[in-house]
Amino acid sequence: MKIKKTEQKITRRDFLRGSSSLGVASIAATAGLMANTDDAHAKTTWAEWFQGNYRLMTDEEKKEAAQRLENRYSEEFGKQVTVDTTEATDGVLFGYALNIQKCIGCRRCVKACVRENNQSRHNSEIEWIRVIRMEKGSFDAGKMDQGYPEDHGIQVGGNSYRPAGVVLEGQHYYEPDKVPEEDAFYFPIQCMQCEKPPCVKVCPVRTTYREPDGIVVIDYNWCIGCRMCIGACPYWARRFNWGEPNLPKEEMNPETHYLGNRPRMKGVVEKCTFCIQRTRKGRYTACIEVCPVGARKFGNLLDPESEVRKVLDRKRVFRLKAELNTYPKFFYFVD
Amino acid sequence: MLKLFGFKKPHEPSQARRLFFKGMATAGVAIASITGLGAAMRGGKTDRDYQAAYDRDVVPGDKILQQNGFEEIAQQEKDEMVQMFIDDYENKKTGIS
Repeated sequence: MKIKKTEQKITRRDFLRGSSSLGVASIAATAGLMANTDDAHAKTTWAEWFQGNYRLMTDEEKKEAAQRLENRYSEEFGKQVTVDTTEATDGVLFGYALNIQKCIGCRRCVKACVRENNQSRHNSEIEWIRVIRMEKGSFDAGKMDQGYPEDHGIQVGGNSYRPAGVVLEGQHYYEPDKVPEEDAFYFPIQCMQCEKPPCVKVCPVRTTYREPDGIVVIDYNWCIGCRMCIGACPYWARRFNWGEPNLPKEEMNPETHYLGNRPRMKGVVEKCTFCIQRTRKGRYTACIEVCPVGARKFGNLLDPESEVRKVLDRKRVFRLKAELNTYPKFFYFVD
Repeated sequence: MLKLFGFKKPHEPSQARRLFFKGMATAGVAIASITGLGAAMRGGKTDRDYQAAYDRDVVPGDKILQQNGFEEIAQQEKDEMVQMFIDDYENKKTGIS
């Protein structure tokens, strides 16, 4: 059977017209779908891209932003998530004091912080608090005539003194069977909430700033991930999300604050916020609540009757890197 | 079909255009494949590297921090510091700073 071919010519003009119509239709359909979709993630992502810096938002805009996030997180994590926007309380300036003599290095504070603040659980395992194990210094009269200690150069008393505070790389991840260890003391470190924070000064987009109650916060949506603040922080207190954070649904803490423990995204910086979602509601931080030896004290630096002011008044207080004039509001003390 | 002196029948499809579209399609497929492969390889690599990258950020700080040690704050200095916090707070509230 012979099939007769009908001659049908498509001109270039027809082809281009058809293609452009198809393109316009596709764009219109996509826009329509995005505008009308019930998918909270799509809506929020679209709106989040165009929202302003949190600090410059009106109260109405802040509420809208929080609402969008609540919808998205609730859908993503399968539970009712709240994103708080409580402002700083008037007449409050938070300060923190840690009794370095009492700390037993159990790292319960680290784990409580991870759980409370929705930090990535693995790859990478992000921790805002580090507890560094350091060797205790000691004196051994029997070593008086044994020359100089290795790696520590000439010291008074020859080899009889073992220098204090020697930390080996990786001891941040020490795993002892029992704490406290006999020959160690422990040095927890986290964001110092500096009165004059260098991290704030270097941020090119002003996404990190100091709140009136002294907490240095980050608007994760405005962070461009340049890591300038990480380089500027003399206390190594900031963490970078190299990958998409791994936060299991069942472990997610649904009580969040916009500037605190709400789930973060890949490529943004995060750090301790003195549990802003708790402290602004009159609660202690998670690390204070969990500390089994009561080594951690917290309070309002403007109130002479607060725990932290009493520590400053009555105890021997130390601070790190005083010469930098960052004026940390996190103090170490001994009884 | 026989062509004489460069003339061709008007309904004959252009070989040049056909070749162009064929080339474009091939290039598109190639680019998509290479991009996909690259993304897959990058994904596989970074999956392993996030923890290492995080450790490179954090662990060196331990050593540096302990080298600086603690500095005790004298009572007078403590008083001055607390007063500075209070003054700073008041100034910020009144917009002086």
